[in-house]
Amino acid sequence: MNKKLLILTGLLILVITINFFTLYIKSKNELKSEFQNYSSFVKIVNDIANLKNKYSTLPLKALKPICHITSGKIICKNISKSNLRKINYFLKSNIKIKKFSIKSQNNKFDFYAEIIK
Amino acid sequence: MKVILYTKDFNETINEPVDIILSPQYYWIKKIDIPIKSLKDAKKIAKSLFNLDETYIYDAFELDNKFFAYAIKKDLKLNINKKYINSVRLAQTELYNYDKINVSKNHSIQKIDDLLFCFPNIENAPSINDIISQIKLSRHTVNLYNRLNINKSVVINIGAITILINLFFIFGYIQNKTAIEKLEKHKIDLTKQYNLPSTTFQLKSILNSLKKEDKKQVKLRKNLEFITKTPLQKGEKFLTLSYDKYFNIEIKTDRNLDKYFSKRFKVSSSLKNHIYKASLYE
Repeated sequence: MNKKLLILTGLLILVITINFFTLYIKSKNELKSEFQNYSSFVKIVNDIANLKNKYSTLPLKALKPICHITSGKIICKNISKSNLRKINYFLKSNIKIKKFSIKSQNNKFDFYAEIIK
Repeated sequence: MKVILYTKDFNETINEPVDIILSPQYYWIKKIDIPIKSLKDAKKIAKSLFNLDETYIYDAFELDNKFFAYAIKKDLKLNINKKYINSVRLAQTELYNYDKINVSKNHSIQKIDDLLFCFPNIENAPSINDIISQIKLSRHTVNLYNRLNINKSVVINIGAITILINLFFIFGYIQNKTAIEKLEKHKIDLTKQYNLPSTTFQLKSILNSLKKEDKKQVKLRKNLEFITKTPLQKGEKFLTLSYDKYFNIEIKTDRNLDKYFSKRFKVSSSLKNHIYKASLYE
């Protein structure tokens, strides 16, 4: 067999193999790094989704019969003690409260709250 | 470049690159009479035409539409430094057009039935010295020194393994790239699904803001629970409870409740007209 040709072919194949090996390792590392990024990205997205889902404005529905609700402001006047329980549930519920106040007068209550939508 | 005919009588000292024509004394040659179609076939059967061992190189060439096979010693030693050998050729290919030539004082080369052989010197034959400078060299050379003694099947196996390794790398590379693309696509899908920005920096900012908000809400509820569990006595009651960054409370009582509230808050309070007023800070 032709020595020069064989050595040159061998070297060429070696260079090609090294080139493919480098490409493979590079892509493997790239995938590893991309997967780490992806995992951290998914974790952040899931955390955001969970925190967004943790709070809702549904508890407002329970107050609708006894309060006046407009654009995040809740005003309830002369609430009886039995309805005060609804206010209590509302404050404990998963609604984002910005501020609130409850005032008692002659066994009747006034409630005011602002929520974050 | 200088061309020399190398015979057994050759005794020149060579100090320059030369093209060597080997005398028939140095090789075995046969004309292939069996019908074959190509030079490739001739090369394949070359070895089988000689009853020689593995110390020979076997090859074939085509000349004047006829195929010839030859065998030549692998370790043929020429009295010329290898660095001056530009090429090695056979007299058969280079002197084929001559029927008889005197090549030295004792020998001649003669063509019999298309094959060149060595014979004793003859009369009426041209001398090689007159011819050699006019010879137009053919493309047929003998690869005598530029050879590796490796079994062909070993080379084929190594080649096949190398190809397989390369295929593995290529396949792995494509697979990795596809996986990266899939991850990126999934990331885009997620951002679209939750209507989020695409950069991690922006996402982290949103997450931090949400966490801060959540922490605030959780704390608010814990504080509210603490306040509503205030140990009131008979006749005592809350008159006001409000929150806007901090809590304000008014309780109808004769007692100072600082001790209880200071367990959780910084308290600023007053007790006037049976009403305990306090601002509760974190």
